[in-house]
Amino acid sequence: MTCEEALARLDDFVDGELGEAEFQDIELHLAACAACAEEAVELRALVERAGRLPRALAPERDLWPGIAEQIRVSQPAAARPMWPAWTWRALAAAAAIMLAVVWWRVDHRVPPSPSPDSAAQFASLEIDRDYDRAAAELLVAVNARRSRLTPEAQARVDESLRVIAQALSAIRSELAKDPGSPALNHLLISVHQRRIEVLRTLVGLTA
Amino acid sequence: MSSKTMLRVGALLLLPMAWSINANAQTSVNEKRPAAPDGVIGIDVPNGTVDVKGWANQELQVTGKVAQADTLKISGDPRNLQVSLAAQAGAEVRADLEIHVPAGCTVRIKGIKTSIRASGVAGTVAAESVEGDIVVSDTATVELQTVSGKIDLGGSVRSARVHAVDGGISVKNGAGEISAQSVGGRIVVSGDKFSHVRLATVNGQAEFEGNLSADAALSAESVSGTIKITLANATGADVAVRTMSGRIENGLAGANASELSQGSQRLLAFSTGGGGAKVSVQTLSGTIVLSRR
Repeated sequence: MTCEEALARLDDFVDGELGEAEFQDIELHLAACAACAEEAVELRALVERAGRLPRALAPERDLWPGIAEQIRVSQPAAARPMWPAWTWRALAAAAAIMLAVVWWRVDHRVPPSPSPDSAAQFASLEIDRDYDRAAAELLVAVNARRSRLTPEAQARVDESLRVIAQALSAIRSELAKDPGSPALNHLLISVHQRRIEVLRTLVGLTA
Repeated sequence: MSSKTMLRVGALLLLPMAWSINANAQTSVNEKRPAAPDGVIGIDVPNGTVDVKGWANQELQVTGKVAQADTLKISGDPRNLQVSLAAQAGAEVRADLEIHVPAGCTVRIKGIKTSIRASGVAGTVAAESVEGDIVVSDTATVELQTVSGKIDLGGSVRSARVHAVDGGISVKNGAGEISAQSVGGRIVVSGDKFSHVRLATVNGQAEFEGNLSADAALSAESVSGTIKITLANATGADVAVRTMSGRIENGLAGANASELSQGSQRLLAFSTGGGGAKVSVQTLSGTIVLSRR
């Protein structure tokens, strides 16, 4: 893999959105290429900073009517618009967003920055919780069908789920030390997926 | 007690046993249906054994035994046939079947306490069983899942996706693409013509032994299980190994080896045999053993 190819997929790598093979490709490249590894570190920091921004940004009041009125007044009534109407609306909307950002930055005191890793930790905790919720729902379905398994099979399933729970716990402990680690996040998701796969298989086979 | 009364009592005692014998008795079946050479055949046998064999005939043939209380049911059209058992309420459902299918078809087998075998199918075999073992050979594409059974792949399988929960997975003389995943079961994969290999386990052991072409990729991942990678002498590879607290035993002579510490992680990267195939191994606490055959 070339540096150009690696850099083109770095966003998805940092976001944990690559498939298994591509993830491994990038990992291998980063292990051997200090420049790209540095890019990855910087991108992670950027993503973490972006993660601390508020999810929704609403202006204090609706700026659009005023902007629209100014556009209407400044435009001669008979003149043919040089740009189509949607362009103006788009520009005005962009301006409104910029104003809202400026308003927010000026009028709102930014709370003290959390540690750089806390945003990444928050993101991975969210994913962790989503998977836990999905697993809990599937487990309800599995438990409803437990009687269709022999006691031996039930014991082996329980043991496997216990092993997975222990593994998740061990990965979470490591993630607490290094929250933004793509490798640890990848491993966490991989084990979560294994648990979902196991539960889905059980639901399907005992239906 | 008179001898007549004794006979009556004896008959009453023996009657339930006779019923039981009757219920467990099996009857032979031998059914045939026309089948498309590239059609789909579904097989649903909750308990017993299923042995699927590909053949040159454009015909489905089901032979073997079913519990007397059950009825073998074959439904659908030649492009989409379904073999299943219609059981009487409360009766034991069991069948031991040998099923011949057109070699080019797709076969989907579902079982609970069912041991499954399949061979000689040039199409796809997808099989699921909770407790039974699954043995597949000489089949182009396989997708197998089992909870506590073992999975055994042999012969010329070219593409395999294999999931076991607790049972072991064994792939001998494998080729092409293989993805083998388990929770606690041991995974052993060997072969010489792989293009893509993925091994993933939680606390089971995962082993690979074989040759990888220059454009092949192998990834192995475990939380606490040991991973052993044994490359054939002819294999050149770019290797990256990452572990948090596991031990690395590197028996591959690595050119340009670099070892980095990233946070709590240890990353070892190097080329061996001139480089080529991409080999990536990751564990949390499991040991990683790299060696040459």
